[in-house]
Parts: sequence; C-alpha cells; structure tokens
Amino acid sequence: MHAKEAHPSPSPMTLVVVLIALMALLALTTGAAFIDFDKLLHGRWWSIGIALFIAVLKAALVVTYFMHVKFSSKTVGIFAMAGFVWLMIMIALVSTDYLFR
Amino acid sequence: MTTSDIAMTDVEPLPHHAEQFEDMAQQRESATLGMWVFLANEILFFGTIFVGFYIMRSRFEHDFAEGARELVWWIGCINTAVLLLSSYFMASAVHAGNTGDARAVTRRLILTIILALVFFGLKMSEYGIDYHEKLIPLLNYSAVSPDGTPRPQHLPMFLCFYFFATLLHALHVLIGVVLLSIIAWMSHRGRFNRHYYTPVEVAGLYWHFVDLVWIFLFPTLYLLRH
Repeated sequence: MHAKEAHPSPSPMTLVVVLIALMALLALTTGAAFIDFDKLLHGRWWSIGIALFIAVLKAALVVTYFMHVKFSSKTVGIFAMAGFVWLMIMIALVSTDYLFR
Repeated sequence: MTTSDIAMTDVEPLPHHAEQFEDMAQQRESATLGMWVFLANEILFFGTIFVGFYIMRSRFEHDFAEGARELVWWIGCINTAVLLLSSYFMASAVHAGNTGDARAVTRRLILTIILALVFFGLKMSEYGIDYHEKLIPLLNYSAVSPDGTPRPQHLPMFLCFYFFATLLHALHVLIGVVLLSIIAWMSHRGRFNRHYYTPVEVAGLYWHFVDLVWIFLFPTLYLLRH
C-alpha cells in the first residue's frame, strides 16, 4: 500500500489488470455465443452455463476489486454477500418448482 | 493506517464527523453499509426479472433464441466495454480520493460520466433500430420480419423482457449520471480531501452496481442465440 493512502485499496496497477481481465472475458463470452455448445456437447444447458459462468467471473472481479469488498471490513463483506445469497435462495426455490413439478 | 495516525503527521485539519458517530472511520463504515443495504434491495429487484426471464426461456427456448438473434449484438458488446471502462475510471477516481488528489477525482468522474452518456446514446440508437425493424411490442411491432419471414409466436414476450430490463437499467444509468455530476461538482468545489471522500466511494458503489447488472443483462439478452 502507498504510504499516502488513507484507506487500504487496490493499487492503480491492480485496477488496470482487472480492467484487462474484464475485457478479455467480454471477448471470450461474445466469441462463445457464436458456437452452439448445446449441439456440440449434446446437452441443454451448456450455452447458458458458459455465458453465466463468465458473467459470474466478471461480477466477482468488479465486486472484489472495483467495489473494494476485499479491502473492506468483514461487516461490509457480509452485507455485500447478503443480497446475492437471498437471490440464490429465490433462484433455488423457484427452480425446484420448474425442474421437479 | 487509521485516520487519527494521519492527523498526527498532516497539516490539514480533520473534517468533523456528524455527532451521532464516534469518529470518521465509523461514519465512513456506516455510509458504505447503508449503500450495500440499498444495493441488496436492487439485486433482488433486478433478480426477479432474471428469474422470470429464464423460466420463460426454458418454456419457449426456440422463440427466445430467435429474439437474441434479432438484437444488434455488436452494439450490446460495445456498450458492455464502454460500461466496464467507465467502471474502471470510477474505481480510479475513488483511488485518487484515497491519495487526496482532488483534481484527479474530478477529471476521472467526468470521464466516467462521458462514458455513461456514450452508453446511453448507443442504447437509444439501438432502440431506434428496433423501432425501424418493427420490434417494439405495443408501439411498433410486426409479426412478419422485414425480409418477409413470419416471426415466432412468443417473440413479443422476449422483447417485453428485453425492453423492461434495458429501460430499467437505462434509468439507473441516467440516475448515475445525475449523481456522479453532483459528486464531480462537489469535488471541483474542493469538498473532498484524503480524510473525507466518502460520497465519491458510495456513489462509486452505485455506479459499479449499474455495471454489474449489465454484465448479466448482456449475455442473458444478446448471447443465448442457439
């Protein structure tokens, strides 16, 4: 950490690396959209799975480094995770209905 | 290093915290927590749209894939890059706040705002293309595409999701532009220093969230083409 900084935070270099990683993942997900993975791998969920997996990676980079969750207190970390956890509960319970009805 | 450590070695006076807080650190933590509580609400707000979309997509897979092919994927892709870049400038504005460089905070906020407006402009021209191709249900929709082939029966359902989600997101972009303009003005007027730049940080959290929503909207709407 730079001595002049008031709070722990990612370095300018880290921010640039995260930006490059985000752009690379954007190129990857856009390229992947032109391949029919469901036909290629004989499944129904490959295309959605790959697209959402890359989106989750990008979101994790933004939340961790741009939104400083890695550099914040544990309380902030818990508050930040709460929304995502509630969303997961909603998705999980809704899917039980549509997958097993 | 805590704020009190800096005060010992610095000539700038420490800004005074509001009376309900013990110190500046507690005030900053409360502001950050408050913003995350608001964002948790927003996650669930947008989350319901995604859940509804994927349920309907699992029922009408073919029509929804056709919907994704109807959209202008490259505008969506460029817009994703624009928002990611604006998020980077926002993060570097917060970093400038942390080192006490108020001029850099203002400059980087202005870059963030310009990119937000570029995103908004591209989105609006994409709506223009959609209107031209008669793809807007209730406003200008045709069951036959311009090249004469009939459109699938459930295409309007996909388009309703598309317009509701992207309009709601565009509204968040506009709110972000207003919010960041106010923060940039405050920064220009010298309201922030390295002991106090919490508004920059908290507005930054909001702006990164707007980026976060688009990170999921782009593949969901544009990329599931098969």
